[in-house]
Amino acid sequence: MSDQETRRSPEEEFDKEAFQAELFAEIGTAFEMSDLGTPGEESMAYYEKVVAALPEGKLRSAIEGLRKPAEISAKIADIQAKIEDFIWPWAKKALAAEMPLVLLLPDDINSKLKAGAQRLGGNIGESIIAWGVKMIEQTKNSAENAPAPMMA
Amino acid sequence: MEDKLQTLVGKIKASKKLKTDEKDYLYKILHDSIAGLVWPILVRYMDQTKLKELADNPQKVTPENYRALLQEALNDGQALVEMSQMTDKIVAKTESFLESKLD
Repeated sequence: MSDQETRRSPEEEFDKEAFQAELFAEIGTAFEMSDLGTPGEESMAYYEKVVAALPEGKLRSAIEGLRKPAEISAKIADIQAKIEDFIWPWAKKALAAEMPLVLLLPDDINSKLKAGAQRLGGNIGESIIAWGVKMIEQTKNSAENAPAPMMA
Repeated sequence: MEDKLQTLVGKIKASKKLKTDEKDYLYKILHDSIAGLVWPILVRYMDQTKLKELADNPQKVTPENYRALLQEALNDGQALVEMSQMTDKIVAKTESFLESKLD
């Protein structure tokens, strides 16, 4: 039996849909089991309307503009005194959800992250988003239809 | 949390059992999962009155007031704590699901 024959198909080896369903179910369970609660559908609908009203070019401006206030927020500094450079990576990860592209796709993601981290002083979130924006711009130049972001 | 995420990405990349398309899928699903939990948390911390006002008046949406919505949601710090906790769970669960495939 050849090596090819002994290997199962990707679907057989790794059921992507089942994995996704299970992982998302876990996310839902994690929300339910926490004290966090989730925003109502009404709030999420409001938010989606706001995002829809914000062209992507403007969105990028908003992202860049968020950096400084996030970093200098005295209130955050008081609450999270030890999380230097924590706010911005998280804000950017959050904002990355807006980008109609998957930001962690290439096979050489690790080398990209490491290179970005070194270049940006260890700020992985920043390197991811910077790369994501670049990818978006490249994709926009070559294709009209990019995958839509997934909203929970 | 980022260390854990990077470690998981490293394990996925190094896995000899996962095919390239499976790895790509996992990177995507990790991103989508994180995005999927981040936004509900942030939206919950947004000023609901302002959120509704902007939603009802999309012509008023600007980068500045969008940024303000996000900034206010992040300002009390608790949203970040919650995001970190939830993302930790996702990374741990993903690693757990993939335990047999990450060799």
